[in-house]
Amino acid sequence: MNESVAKGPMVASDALTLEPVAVMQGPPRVEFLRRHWPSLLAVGVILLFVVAFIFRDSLSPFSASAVRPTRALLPVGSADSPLGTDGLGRDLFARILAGVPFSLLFGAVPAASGMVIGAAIGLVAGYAGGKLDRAIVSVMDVLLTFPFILLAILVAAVLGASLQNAIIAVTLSILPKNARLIRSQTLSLKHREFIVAARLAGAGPLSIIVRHLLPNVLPTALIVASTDVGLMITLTAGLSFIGLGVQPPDVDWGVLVAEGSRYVTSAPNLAFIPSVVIATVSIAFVVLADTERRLLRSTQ
Amino acid sequence: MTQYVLTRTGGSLLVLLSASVVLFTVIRLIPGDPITILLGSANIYDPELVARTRIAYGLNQPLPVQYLAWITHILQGDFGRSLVTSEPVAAIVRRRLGPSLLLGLGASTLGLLLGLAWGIAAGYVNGPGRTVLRALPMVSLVVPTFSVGLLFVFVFAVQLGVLPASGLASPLEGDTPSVGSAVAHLILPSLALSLVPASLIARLTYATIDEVEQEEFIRTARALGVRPLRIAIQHSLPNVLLPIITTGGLLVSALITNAVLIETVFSWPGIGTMMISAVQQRDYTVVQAGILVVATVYVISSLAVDGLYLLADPRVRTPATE
Repeated sequence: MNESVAKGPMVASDALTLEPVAVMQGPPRVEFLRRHWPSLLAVGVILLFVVAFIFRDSLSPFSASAVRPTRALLPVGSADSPLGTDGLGRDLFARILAGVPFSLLFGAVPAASGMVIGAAIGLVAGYAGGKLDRAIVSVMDVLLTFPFILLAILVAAVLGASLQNAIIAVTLSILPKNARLIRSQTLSLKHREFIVAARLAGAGPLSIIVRHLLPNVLPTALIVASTDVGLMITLTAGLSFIGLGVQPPDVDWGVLVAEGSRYVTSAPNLAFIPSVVIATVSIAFVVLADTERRLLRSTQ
Repeated sequence: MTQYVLTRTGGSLLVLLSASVVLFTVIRLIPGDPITILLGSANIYDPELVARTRIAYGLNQPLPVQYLAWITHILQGDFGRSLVTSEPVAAIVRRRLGPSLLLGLGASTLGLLLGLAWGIAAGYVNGPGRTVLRALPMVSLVVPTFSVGLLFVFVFAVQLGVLPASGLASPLEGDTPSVGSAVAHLILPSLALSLVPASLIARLTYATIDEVEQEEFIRTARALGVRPLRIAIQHSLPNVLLPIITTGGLLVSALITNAVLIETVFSWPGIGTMMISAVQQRDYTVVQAGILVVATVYVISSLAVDGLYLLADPRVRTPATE
């Protein structure tokens, strides 16, 4: 996964841009839709996700934790509970809505903080060069491929299994990838004329990094952070699934899948609907990042 | 070549050493005094006994000395006892390691075969199939592995009823399944686990094929009328090996992380489920042993994958590289 970012557009961009631009097979509007439907769909899914976040309290008549033994294990399409209910009669739709803020938090916070810290490390290492750079690179190279789950287990063992600690673990896990990427961008920028000119004009290292390098690595950073949002949602759902993330009675989508997995024979909707939700939102963010990448390329 | 081997091995040892130091330090950050656990709440008010125990266990020594004592025991295979069951941790690990290695081996074999076939197909198939095959890794890398595992359970174990859904052996067999039964139990989890490495390998494969297709030796072979399948296997495929080996560490790491999820889905009696239940029971000695053992397996496998470089790329074998 990390390589896709470093090596650039080898994911779906190739697949999605196979059609030559010059061939127009219909009216422009239809053509636009035909070529860009994945991006539009992704933006739609993300908007839906945000709407669900804003109106999460008023979209379902039930509360996420209301136990109703008489309504246990209702199938999909039941009256009032369109997605069914779990073994305790709790409404699945309400529980998925209750998971939205956690997933948003899990996606956005690690992606943002991982990028900010990673970019800081990468900029400093790339611009400073020399021994500092070599030290940072060798540490990052080791961490880059070190199995993330061991880190998460260690953090959970020492600090306890919780939402914050899962966020700490996943943030640490994406730091090296981001630092390395921003460092390589910095390396290719730092000998360009405008940086040399700034240095000749007397700008200090801090000013060069913040005012001249940062704006130039920002587009890449934003693209990577968008991909990360999607990946982090899946990753943290996995942590919740094995009991190292969100702790009941709070629910996120990973907890829902874990609870639903006990009913996989009798009520598969309980595990699979949250799974589909996780996958849809994650893919939407990855497609969004892919769209950003293509937009960036077409403006350069 | 000797220098390459030495550098890589030294680097790996350094990684393990740092991991053990971090682990030792971090476990000591856990609140609570081991003496309290050792003596029980009845005896901790006896200052003389507390002091004597502290000396007996070396807990009055400086931390570096404690670390040395700890790592010496571990290198001799002594991981201490489980805080919950008092069973020697080494025995627990020995019981759990086999199933995990079996799962990892099964998944990596399947992942490699599946990934190569997928990548070659994506490289050579034309039309809509090409678009689908190339867009699919993006989906399969983001869909949660545990959901894929559950889906396999639902389809093959619940709906079709052809394969067992959990564990390494059927309940009647106890701990020693027959080979056939073990293989049947292995299929679903390793298939589910192989999906992520397969997607990564597929992506590398078709990207490399795209690059190689422009090379003269492929065009020459094509001009000479060599069959496309033969070109793919004999001329393109060897070039795919290097990028796969280069990302070997990443592949092993992805496999290990997803293995913990898959072991949970399939109640696999491996190291992953051992660590998760140990975290929940605050059984720190077991958690610590699990992390060390998995880190060692990771380092050794990455080293082995790196070793394949020597076989795959003659340039590494000659001096003046690296």
